[in-house]
Amino acid sequence: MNLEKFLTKKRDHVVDKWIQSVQETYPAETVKFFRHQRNRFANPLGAAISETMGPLFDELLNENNPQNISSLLDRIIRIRAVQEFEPSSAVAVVFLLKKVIRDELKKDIEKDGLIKVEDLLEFESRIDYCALLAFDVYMKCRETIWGNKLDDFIKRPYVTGGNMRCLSYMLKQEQRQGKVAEDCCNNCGLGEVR
Amino acid sequence: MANIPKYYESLNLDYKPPRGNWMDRPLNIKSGIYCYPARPNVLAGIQMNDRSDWGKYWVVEDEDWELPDDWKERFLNKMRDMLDKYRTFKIYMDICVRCGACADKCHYFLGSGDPMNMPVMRAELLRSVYRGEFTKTGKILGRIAGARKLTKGVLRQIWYYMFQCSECRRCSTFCPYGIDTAEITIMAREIMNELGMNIAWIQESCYKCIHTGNHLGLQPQAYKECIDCMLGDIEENVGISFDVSWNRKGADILFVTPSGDVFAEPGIYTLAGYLLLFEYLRKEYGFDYTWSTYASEGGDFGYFTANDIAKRMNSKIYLEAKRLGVKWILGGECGHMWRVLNQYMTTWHGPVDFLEEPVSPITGTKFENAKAHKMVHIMEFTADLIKHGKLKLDPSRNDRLRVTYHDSCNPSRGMGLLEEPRYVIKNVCNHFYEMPENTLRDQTFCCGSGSGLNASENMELRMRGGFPRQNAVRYVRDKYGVNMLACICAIDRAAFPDAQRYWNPDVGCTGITELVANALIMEGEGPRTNNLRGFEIATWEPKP
Ligand code: SF4
Ligand code: SF4
Repeated sequence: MNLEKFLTKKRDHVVDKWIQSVQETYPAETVKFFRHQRNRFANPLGAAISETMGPLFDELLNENNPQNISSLLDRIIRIRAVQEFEPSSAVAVVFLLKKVIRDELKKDIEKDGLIKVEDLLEFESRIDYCALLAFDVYMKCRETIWGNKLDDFIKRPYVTGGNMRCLSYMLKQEQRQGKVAEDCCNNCGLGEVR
Repeated sequence: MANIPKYYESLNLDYKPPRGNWMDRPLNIKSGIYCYPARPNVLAGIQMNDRSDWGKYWVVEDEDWELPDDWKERFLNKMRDMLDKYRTFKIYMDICVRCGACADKCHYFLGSGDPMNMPVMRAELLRSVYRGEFTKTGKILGRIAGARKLTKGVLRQIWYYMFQCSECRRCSTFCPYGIDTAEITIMAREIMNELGMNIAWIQESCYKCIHTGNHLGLQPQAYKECIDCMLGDIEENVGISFDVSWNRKGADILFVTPSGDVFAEPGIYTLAGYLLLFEYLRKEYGFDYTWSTYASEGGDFGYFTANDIAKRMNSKIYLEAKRLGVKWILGGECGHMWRVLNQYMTTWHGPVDFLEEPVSPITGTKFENAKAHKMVHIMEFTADLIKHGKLKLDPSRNDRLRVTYHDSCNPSRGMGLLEEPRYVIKNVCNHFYEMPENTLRDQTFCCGSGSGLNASENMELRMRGGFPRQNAVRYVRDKYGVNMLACICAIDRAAFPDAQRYWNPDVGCTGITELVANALIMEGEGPRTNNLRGFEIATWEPKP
């Protein structure tokens, strides 16, 4: 049997395990909630996980089209990019599939004996490539975040808080390490304190 | 078998977070989630009893928060005062049965997946201290009774999570006991003021409001200039020119709106909407109103820091109404302003007997719901005008827009303003689509940036908090092609563009009065090829 057929046969099991391992990157109380609340508006994060992993797996297995993969990844990485995760664990969802396949299917693969190493390596390379795409998506998200911050900074001169009044103020604030500012350059004309 | 090599082993990947009792979990303070602290000199400028008296600036990610030696007594004394003064606070501390009904109702929990953002846990942070420091059982049984002593670590935790609550009250609508976690946050923030631990975004806004009249710190001449500038834009896009009156004694009505509408995009177009609507009413029906540079703020950031400051800031509106001798006050599209008015104002300042019970000078409708505070919401006012056929409207000018409506937390949950905004939208737009029911009305999701958390440095927090709302927006975008999110809150209008650039980059954001004014047929108007934003009506693609 070739690997694709094999994975197609095992699809639901693999996807379930994948979903489960992504869910388990969250604290136990949250995982409980993911499992009992099925409404996708009451549980948008849980829905994103359970609605994305299946199609993403199918895409990897069948079409392997980078654009489709990226847009599926976007739904999940965009959320993780603003959560508690370090960058590596934010994109690790992809590698968790590799882990699922190795943990869950190792025996089957060995028993079957007909699956070629090349096929397996090729599929794992797809996962690796998917992880690179996840990195792209992650960076795009983070850049939007910083774009927003910068945009605020430019558009909100009147409203920015004390620490953000002007760049020179911020730099000096850092140098001063905690002392109250007295010597803002006031080049921006806004003044350090009104 | 055996064509799979031996080294095909399990991957050593483990991303499971730590388990065990929440009290033992390490607190991970993350940049992007917290707001910068207020500076001592700003606190001094508001004359708050707090850090201003020992003047140390502090940095959130530092181990040492530069607390005074008697920080613990200050905290506990204030907490004791508040427990004595506010019965609700004491009850909320006592009666939670940890049923969990509120646990999954907070947008910050839904967006972060962090269980400490479950409302019950947020309250538990303070409640555990209450048990450990104020109750006998807690003192004896300690942790078994869910009690603990106040330590610097506990204080860090309380501060971190109380500034991850937007006081939206969504959780309270699900609590069988009516426990309002927003109130607990309000109390906790006020207690922490004793240690000067409030945030710059809130305190600077209060400082500016107290010193210049509004949160943005616009001085009277700048405030007037902004509006003059909008009048210029109106002349360009609508083809009519007019003036407005300022601080005019004897006007019938005082108009007050959040200053966000005067300066920030897209709020300024809502402001242009007010200007045009009132000019229409003036010409057609002799509507007589005035702007004020003193009451130049409808919002009340004091409400996010301390009861006294909130009261002080709210009083400006009424002092000005009294000084000008108006009959009643008309209020713009703002969120928390309405919660303050409906739930606090009359307790603070007693009956407003120097104003009249509001009656629309155009339709004669009596706004009985505004009997106590004498202030009418622009949506009630406009809905009434439309109902009586007083506005000439061409909704087809909004045909490029497929609109959905976000119930801003405070007008919907805080004053029950649910149908009027929808009625107005349906009369000025031909394409209106509702988001799913469990994200609307009293169950509406916060924009993610309420209660003074609309700063820039906590962008990640705001994106988390905005996610449940944007998830629903995304649904109507995909299903009906929605490209415009309407709302009636200035903080929404400041928060949504950021959230939408992140979650729904092809959906714009607007106040409802902007939609009204675009549809409004003005006498003597030029060709209305442009909308109030200066874009061509026929080809406009809204963007956040
Ligand atoms: S719903 Fe009310 S009683 Fe239940 S856990 Fe939440 S606050 Fe406590
Ligand atoms: S008031 Fe709103 S933000 Fe605060 S805990 Fe409740 S749901 Fe969350």
